[in-house]
Amino acid sequence: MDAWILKATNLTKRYGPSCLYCTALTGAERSNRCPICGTVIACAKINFVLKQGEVLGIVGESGSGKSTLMQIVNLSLPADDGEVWYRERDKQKQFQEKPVNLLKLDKYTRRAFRNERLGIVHQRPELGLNMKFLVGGNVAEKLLLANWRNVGRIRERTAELMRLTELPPERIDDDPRMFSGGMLQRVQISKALSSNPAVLLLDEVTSGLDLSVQARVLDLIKHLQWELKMTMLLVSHDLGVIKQLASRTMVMKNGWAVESGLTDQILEDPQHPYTQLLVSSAL
Amino acid sequence: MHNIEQTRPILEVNHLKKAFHLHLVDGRVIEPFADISFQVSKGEFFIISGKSGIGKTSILKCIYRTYLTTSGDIWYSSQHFKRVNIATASEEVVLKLREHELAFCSQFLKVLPRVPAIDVTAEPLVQRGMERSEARKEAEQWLRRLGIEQSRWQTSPVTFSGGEQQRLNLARAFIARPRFLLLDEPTASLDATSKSIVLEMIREARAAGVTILTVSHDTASMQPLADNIYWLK
Repeated sequence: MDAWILKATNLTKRYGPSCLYCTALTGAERSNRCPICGTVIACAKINFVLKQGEVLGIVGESGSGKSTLMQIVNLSLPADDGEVWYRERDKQKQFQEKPVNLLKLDKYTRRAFRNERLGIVHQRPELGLNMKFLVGGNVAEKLLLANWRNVGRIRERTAELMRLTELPPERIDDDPRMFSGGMLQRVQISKALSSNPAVLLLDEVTSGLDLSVQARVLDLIKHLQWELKMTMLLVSHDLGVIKQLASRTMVMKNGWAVESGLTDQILEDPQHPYTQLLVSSAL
Repeated sequence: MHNIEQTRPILEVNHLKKAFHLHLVDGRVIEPFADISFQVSKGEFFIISGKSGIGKTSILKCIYRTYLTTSGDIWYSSQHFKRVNIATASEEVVLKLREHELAFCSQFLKVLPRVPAIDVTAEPLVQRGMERSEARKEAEQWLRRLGIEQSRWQTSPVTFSGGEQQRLNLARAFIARPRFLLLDEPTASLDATSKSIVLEMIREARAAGVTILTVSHDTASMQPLADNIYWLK
């Protein structure tokens, strides 16, 4: 039995009224905006399979639908079409036979699932954090929702994560508005990792970080991958980050997946004209 | 007298051809090589040699599936999957092969900055699920053997010289004890002492039953060890 944990089939998201001609008049080679009704196709028939402990990289230009895809998998944005299947593991770490379609969960199960099994780092920190809570409170929020009840342990865990992401733990009770952009990004990372999620969604995790912290964070992610066998979806503009972390990579353009394959193959022997442009433009 | 298991090739390359379609340069097609055929037996030390730019490294990359093969077959006799055609195998199978059987040692070391040399060396073992402290112990042995001073183990390999980086890169390839090892110019930027250490490592690995396929200019120092040399023209 193959050990996939997350499988997305046919994921589609449209913004707009959508007409009969949307599919025919948009596409990777054209535009993602239907010239007749003005609908924007953010994601078009995206498929991927993630195995336990695998990291899938997603690259593509701005507006190619990467973040929309992340939001759908994070269950915070309804999809127009398609399914996201997840296979739960029991205490013996054996996969259960029956996968669950996450997009069909009711509101309460969905929220519980998101808090216990998923962790997300948004591109913009203010999307992932509540700026009215203190720094510690933001991390505690996720832990409380994932059924942690001991305040001492919650604070201990928060401080530990702050140390891991090189934030000064003594600033646990500070207002997040006093933090810089890069520091907020690290608070988000701490929050996402706090409940040891089964699937980690990283949307431009290293953008806004200075280089020394970036290296630290990438090393941290690498070890989560190897030692905790955490499964990840990794969106990044930085092909170097993708190369270091992802074993397979999907290239998106105008909402479509134009190419996917082993990361080193995508980077060294790209087949699609767009991927060739992307790779040849990297520093 | 060899038995059948030993004489059956572990790798069989038939009529291999690679073409790069450069869509950005008026759709130009570049063919580094065409119609390459050779066989590597189990436990052999096999050298591919020829002048620069003739496509030696590209052949290695096709075998590792970094490059997609345009036409031809690469039959590999795997422990897990019996006989696999790497040219057409699924990504899942290739990833499994890389995890358990194949190792590729490139000419250049590419690592995360700020990670100490000892952890970089231990990485392939940690990746396979070994305890970090245990992996470090093994990495220490390799670093010592390759003549990298103990005082530098905690520094990042980014600060190392070209030759030191290459030795570290080789250590990373050997430490995982792969079944089939692909080496790209393993002795290129090494001095005589390091070169002899590397050759000794190759000899040892071969004695342990590892099959080694290497691309090299340096046939003079490798020839005495080689079981077979394939000249590209």
